[in-house]
Amino acid sequence: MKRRNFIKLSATASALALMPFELEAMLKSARLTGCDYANRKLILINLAGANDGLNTVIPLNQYDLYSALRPTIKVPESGVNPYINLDSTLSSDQLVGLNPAMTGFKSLYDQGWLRLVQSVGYPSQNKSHFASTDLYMTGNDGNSLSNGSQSGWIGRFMEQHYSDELGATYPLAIQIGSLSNSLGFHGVEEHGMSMNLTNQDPSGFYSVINGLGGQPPLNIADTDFGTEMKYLVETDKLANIYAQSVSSTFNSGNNVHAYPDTDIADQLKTVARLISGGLESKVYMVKIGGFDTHNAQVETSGEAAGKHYDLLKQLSDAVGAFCADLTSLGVADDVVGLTYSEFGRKAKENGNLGTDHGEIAPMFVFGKGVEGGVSGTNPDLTEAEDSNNYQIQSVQYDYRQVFGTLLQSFMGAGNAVIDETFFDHTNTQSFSDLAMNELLKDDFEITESCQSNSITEISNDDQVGAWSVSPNPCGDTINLRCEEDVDSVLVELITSSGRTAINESYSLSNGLVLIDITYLKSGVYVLKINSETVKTERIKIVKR
Amino acid sequence: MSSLDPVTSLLGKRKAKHLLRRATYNYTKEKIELFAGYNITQAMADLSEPSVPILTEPHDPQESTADAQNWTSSAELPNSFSGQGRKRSAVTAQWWYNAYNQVTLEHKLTFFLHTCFTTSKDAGTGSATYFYDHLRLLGQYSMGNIKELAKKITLDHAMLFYLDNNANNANNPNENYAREFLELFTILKGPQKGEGDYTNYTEGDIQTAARVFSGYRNQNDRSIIDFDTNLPSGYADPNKHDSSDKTFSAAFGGAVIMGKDTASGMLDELSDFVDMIFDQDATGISYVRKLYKYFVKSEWNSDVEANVIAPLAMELKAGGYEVLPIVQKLLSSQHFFDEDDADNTDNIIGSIIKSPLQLFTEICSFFQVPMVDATESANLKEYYQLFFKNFVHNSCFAASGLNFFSPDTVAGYAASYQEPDFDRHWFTSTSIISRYKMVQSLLLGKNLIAGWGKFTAALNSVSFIEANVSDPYDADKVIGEMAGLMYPEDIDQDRKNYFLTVLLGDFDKVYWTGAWGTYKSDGDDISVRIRLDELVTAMVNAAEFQLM
Repeated sequence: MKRRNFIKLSATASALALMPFELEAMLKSARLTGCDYANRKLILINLAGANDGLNTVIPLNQYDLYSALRPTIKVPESGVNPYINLDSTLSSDQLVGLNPAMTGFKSLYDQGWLRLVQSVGYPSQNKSHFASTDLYMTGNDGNSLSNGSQSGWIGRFMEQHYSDELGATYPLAIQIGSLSNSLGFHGVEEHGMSMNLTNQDPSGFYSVINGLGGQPPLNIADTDFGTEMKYLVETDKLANIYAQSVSSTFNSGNNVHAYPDTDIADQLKTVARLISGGLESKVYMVKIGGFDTHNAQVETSGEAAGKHYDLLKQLSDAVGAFCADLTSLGVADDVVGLTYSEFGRKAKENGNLGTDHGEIAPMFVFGKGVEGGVSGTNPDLTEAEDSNNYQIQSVQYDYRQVFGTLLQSFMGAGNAVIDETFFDHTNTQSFSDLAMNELLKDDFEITESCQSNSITEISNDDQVGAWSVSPNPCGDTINLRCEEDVDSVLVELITSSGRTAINESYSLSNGLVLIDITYLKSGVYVLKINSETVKTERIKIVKR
Repeated sequence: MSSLDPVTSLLGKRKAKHLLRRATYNYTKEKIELFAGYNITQAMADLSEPSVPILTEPHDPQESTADAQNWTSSAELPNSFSGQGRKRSAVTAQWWYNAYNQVTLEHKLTFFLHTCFTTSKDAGTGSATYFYDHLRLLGQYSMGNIKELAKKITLDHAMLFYLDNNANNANNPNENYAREFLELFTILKGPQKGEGDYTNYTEGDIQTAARVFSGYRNQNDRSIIDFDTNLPSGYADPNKHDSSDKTFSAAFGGAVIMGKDTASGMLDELSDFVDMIFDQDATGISYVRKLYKYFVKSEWNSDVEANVIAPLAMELKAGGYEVLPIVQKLLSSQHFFDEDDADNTDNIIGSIIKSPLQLFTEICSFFQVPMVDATESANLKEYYQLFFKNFVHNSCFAASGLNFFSPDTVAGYAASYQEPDFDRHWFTSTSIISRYKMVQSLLLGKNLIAGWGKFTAALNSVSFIEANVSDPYDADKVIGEMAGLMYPEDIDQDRKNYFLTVLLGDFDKVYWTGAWGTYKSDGDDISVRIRLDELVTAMVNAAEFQLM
């Protein structure tokens, strides 16, 4: 069980720390003209503990069977706190009631901003919280760990899709609400792409942390002790670097709408403020816990009020406030979010006014760009029998279909990037072929021609294969050296906006070629080295 | 090849530092020098001495009556008191005081058992008194038999509340405790072989186990005392117990545990069930892997698995699950001290990131922070409230990611279970500010992490240097000797030069000699203290000190 090596970020990071913040922002926004998705953000809301889907979304066409399975904890049809009829125009096998706590979600649905996805799960359900959470984060299906066990789908996605932005002064992802850094953000190569802000004051974070850890040692031994030292040193360094962009965007950002006084609302409030302040992080993960309702899910038999109701109310009100705030802040076009949970709960109640671990559960996807509606039909409650421990099991949507569709059509990742993020190894199928076309509104969808498709094996080393670049970061000249005996080389220098700045052949003398880049502006570039005799390599360089 | 053979010569300083940190929370120059002169047998004997607790009961100074202040001895019901959260923190304050003051394996092992049989004190274990009993139970078995603990803990009040087993009945079973008992506490999951099959057990086994566990209840007035532990426990109620025979899956060879319908029969049934679990090789292996992660390192290769973990697992099982001999063997081994091969890149020494508990307690003990004497009644408010609750429990630990004895999930602290990072979880953007501020707060006697509350236990860098450095006039000696005691490995001259610039600024070492001389002659320590405080901060917050 090997740990990934830490991001080899040092040279680039310190150079970029010198880059004016504004200049960098300009580089990023200039990137994709026409297919403009550079500002898009994805919000992942983790309902931790396994949300009881059946009391969140009540299947109205099977209400009798539902009542028989849940005599004491069923959400009532009438009286105090009955379910909310989501949409009476739906066909009968899609007719659902929402838990009465979810007035916020009902408003979003009526506005056309909410889609309910039924029976989300994965092929081989694992009912352990920790294993299933890890599966959700690594993008696997319970049959194998072929998509990766040490890296997460978000990490792999960001490594590929935002490879130009690796080594920026802002984190690609932000996590709030959990002190433990999510496995989802670990890349295959890269570590440190995300920053965890849980319990930190984003406004003052930078001024507090700046230099607090002192200077790192200059020389670190090449031993396991040294490896741990490097981890500590790099974590401290990254925290310092990221903190600056976080604090500065937080302080220039704003909230307009009022939020309820709950932890989840507070997390989303911070997210909205960072987005409005211009933080370029792409993925935000927030968390609301307490869903492991083995007992006292409801307070009194036959009524909806209780622990589960309270949690759903917090969630629904927070998301409602968040969406209203995004609109007021003028950033609603750029943001889509979803809720996910490690699994659902058993169809039959357990006699302690609660439920035990289950399998499939609904997902909610929300945002201005989302096409409102319901995907899938009500789960078939007749599946739940004594012989299968009263579970509903049929998966209508693999969770990766939802994630994959958003990554492609909202965030602009091409098929190749999706396959690097996760692949259906059980059926040998690409999730780009399993996209849910109804998920987004047409005018928000990124078409295939705009999606980014390059798979880059980008190394942060100054030495790649036979080639090396020095110094890096460099000034007006790139010194490119080759260990092998090579006469000439075709060099492409690609800017961070994807533009080719140089495309020329050079001859080498004594294994060295000097490339003049005086006229180019400072920033990050990819140097692509093609030679007939030696393998083509890519090296990331930074011009000061 | 990794070797479990014991180290043979006298320990010496480097090994003494390593052993003391891994085995205890208290870390001092005095003990380093004592253990350096021991051979490993003497060292193990010293560390295995059962300790007599200094504080036997917690105290809540924010109550107005003596009965409520010493509520664990009160005749009133546990839930009749207010301030339960505060009282739970007081229980941990009592535990920490003993762990801080005593150099013995017992406290590390108690905490280890907490990571094995996890409860979260602030998330559903009932009244504070039950948590007090729970910690005493763990303490009793810390150098004892973990199989017996697995049986006793099923009737522990805190555990009965935490995982809902007190609501698990024959006619409506609750699987929560059964699931976590198998998945997290004992045999652990293997790879998922198929639908609901986790190799070591199946989903069906969980449901069957839930039936074994049915019918146990709390005795809220703590009137039922367990015969073996002499601690309050819950009881077996045959009317709520599923008394049918329990047939387990092929993972357990189809074993059948006979169902019983009397109270004492239920306890026999529980015992038979636990014996069945512990008879599996996988259980021994799971515990040894946990011990390895806890005491040695978070990751290991197949050589270690074959030559260290597998043999120890067999020994643990063959010895009936007495934990102490296994820990002693592991901590005496050449493997533990990096002496089993010539490869000096795969260190055990220095390979674990200190938990906030380790880091904080080491700083306090090493720098001889004048700890409040909590045996004196005049000091109880200062210790329990101002120092421990406000500063240590609510700030240092919580802000560093350690909700003390209250991890976010029943899987435990992320550092224990979340692969691949394990102990790296202690050091992240969310925790480093408060880790760095621990020593700064202690130097000022003020909580710099939150609230700025004051406390009396303050680190005096001048008296520390005076008492522990051979020649305080000599800046090189100050830094060299401190580094030699504080860090797992030697530091190079570049690093020493960095610390010299922290101490001296732009000035020459001669300046320091003069400043110390001035302090010795006129007694005014202000200028040396300012410089030493900076040095202590830099040396404590250095990456080298974050590791053990």
